[in-house]
Amino acid sequence: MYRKITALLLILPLLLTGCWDRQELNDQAIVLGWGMDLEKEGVYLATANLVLPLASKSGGQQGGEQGGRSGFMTESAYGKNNRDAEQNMQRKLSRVIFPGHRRNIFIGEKLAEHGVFSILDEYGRSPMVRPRTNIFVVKEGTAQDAMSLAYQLETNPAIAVQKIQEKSGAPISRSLLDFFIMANGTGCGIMPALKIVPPEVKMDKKSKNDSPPQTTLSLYGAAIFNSRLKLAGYLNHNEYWVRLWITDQLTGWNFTTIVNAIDADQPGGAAADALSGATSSQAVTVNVDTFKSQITPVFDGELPRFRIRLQGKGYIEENDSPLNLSKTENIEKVEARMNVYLEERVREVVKKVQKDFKSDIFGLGDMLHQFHPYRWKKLAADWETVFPDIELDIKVKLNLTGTGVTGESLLPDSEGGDK
Amino acid sequence: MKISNRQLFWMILMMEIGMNLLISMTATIHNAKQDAWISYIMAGAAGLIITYTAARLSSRYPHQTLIQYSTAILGKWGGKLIIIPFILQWFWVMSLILRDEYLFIRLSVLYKTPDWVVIGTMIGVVLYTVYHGGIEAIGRVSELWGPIVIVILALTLGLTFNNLNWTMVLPVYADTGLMTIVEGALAPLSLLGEAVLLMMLFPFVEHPGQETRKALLLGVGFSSFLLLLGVLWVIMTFGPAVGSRLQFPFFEMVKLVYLMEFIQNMDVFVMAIWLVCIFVKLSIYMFITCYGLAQWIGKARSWKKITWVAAPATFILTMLVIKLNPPAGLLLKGVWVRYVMPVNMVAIPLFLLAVSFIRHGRRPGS
Repeated sequence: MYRKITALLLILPLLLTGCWDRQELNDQAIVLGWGMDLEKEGVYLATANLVLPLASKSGGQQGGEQGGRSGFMTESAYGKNNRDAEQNMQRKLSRVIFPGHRRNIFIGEKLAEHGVFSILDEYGRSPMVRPRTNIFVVKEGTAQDAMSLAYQLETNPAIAVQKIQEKSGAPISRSLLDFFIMANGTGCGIMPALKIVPPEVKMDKKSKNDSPPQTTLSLYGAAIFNSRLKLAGYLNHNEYWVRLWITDQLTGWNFTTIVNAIDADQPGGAAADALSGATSSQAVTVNVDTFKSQITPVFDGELPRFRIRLQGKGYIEENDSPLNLSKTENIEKVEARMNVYLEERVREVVKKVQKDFKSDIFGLGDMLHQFHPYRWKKLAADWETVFPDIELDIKVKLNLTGTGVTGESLLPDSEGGDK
Repeated sequence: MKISNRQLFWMILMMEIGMNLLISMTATIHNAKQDAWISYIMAGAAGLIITYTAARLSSRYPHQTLIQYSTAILGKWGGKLIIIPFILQWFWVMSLILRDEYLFIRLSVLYKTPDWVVIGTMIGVVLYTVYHGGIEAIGRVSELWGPIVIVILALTLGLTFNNLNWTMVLPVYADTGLMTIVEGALAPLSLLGEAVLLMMLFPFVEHPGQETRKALLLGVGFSSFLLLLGVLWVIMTFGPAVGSRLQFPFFEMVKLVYLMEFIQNMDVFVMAIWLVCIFVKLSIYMFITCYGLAQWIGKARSWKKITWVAAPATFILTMLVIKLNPPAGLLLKGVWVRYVMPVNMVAIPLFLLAVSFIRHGRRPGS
């Protein structure tokens, strides 16, 4: 027995001498964001957002700056693709690049226009990274611009955009995976788009401790890619919900429309009348939290038509119009008004997508494929050319279930209304 | 050395699930696309038939292993000869499992650790278990870990539920057709069919009989069901196009778990249970290889000595496989599906059963 144990103890050190995959935390440069820009054909500029170890340690001061130092650093390098640039970047870094937390990828606009086919492969291939990754296109800018910008509320701008995306009503941290899945479907893709926005009104600091709004990163909407994975165009934030609603992915949205005096004056009048005489600052906001979309293809002509029925449930959050919301018929008026407004909006966006982008981002082709596979076999080959001319019959129906804690506004109705 | 029926059930379950979850899905989804789940149903049904045939055969000689009753059926030389494909298969399987384990571990955790360390430690543990505990220890390990495996699998399926998009399994049948679906069923079937090794385990069960057959069929049936759920989940998460291109789609799916910020990185758990499954499978194979070889050369009592030959042999074979690096598709499709499955899992058991009926009638005197 003892002989066995001694033998074992003698053999063990032989086995334990090497620890090949040991990687001390102090020797790692943790990458939180990765950006790619097209420099010229075949040359890319990679930017990495790295966690600054000292900055994240001291917890006393929250915010982008700590004792005058920013809480993150960016490093960049040229390369022929992602890995080549990473290797070039490594030569500037004292720690090994560790991409295990690389949850955000930024694509410069120029690269997006050139096409992302040439660089996306690594994001799905590398075993080090997680498949839950956000990918963003930086509108009117480069990835480096966006990544270098300090963000006040979070120590790291990469974390900031990730959190902004999570609050946008779209699925969380799935944009890369969804892009891969979509590009394999009817052959187009969508990525969320970011934009660097200056403050609406520029203001100077009057004293040292002032904190006026600064230039910052904002979620612009979505970038649409065509079947060759080149940027076809953008949908802004106020257009993108249309796509989310139609594909049944929207989780919450506020809709604001103008309800004018005509609505109040002519009870039972057609809601369309209100459209014409819209006056300003008499807006009603509806918060919708339950969405449903029902798409039925109709095959009666050469091309299929689609009947799109969008439904939503919500309540009135703000009412600046003279309508008295304690009366049911007035709520119905808001509903009718909203339906007209939303239908108009949806039609506009759908038309833009069909005519300008010519990309089936609503997944109509996928839907045909899934539910009418034999008809799809005839259509599949030239769906891309046919899609812009597909007829869509869109109806929106909101169901308002509440008016908040008041019915009638707490304000006296001396102003605003004619009553 | 006796195991209970329940231990046998868990052994079969763990043996079937581990490898199948990891390596068969890509091939199946590649062939059968979104209809891969039909392939898995077919594979499960066929796996049950194979298991039933083998169990039927073993029940006729409940106190003998395959090695013993093959000589009883075919005579001394015929019986010995027909075992050769099995012995080859056992060594082959062990080295393939070890290679896949190494590849998977290198890909997901240990990037730089040399191959012999990963394989050597696994073989070391397997050798220890088989040498000291034999089949009894393997049975107990399975009984202990089996429920944990089920719980963790159920948990992962539950936690990834919110990623599912059921329309991805559509259209059913329209894109594929019968032949491609059957072709897709071959890969999972060839792994489910490994349950024929029950022919070596049968006599070790405490009271071999009807209950044993039930445990075996339940084991295969239940693992097919879990695999069916697994492949449905994968298709509904990734869709057929991405699913068929990922090397380990189930594992990638687990990586997607992201709930309430703090529930994530579930893949470590799945990796852990997967390693336990691999360990159980390797131990079973190691045991039957050693015991079978010992019986084959007629020295059943000294089977433990054979472990000292079989384990190094497996190690060398595995290193050879790694060094030569034959393409995985060739190994699974070209050799395993084309030769091992039809010969070892279907033809030989059926042939033995038929001859046994002809020579010994309904009730063979054991």
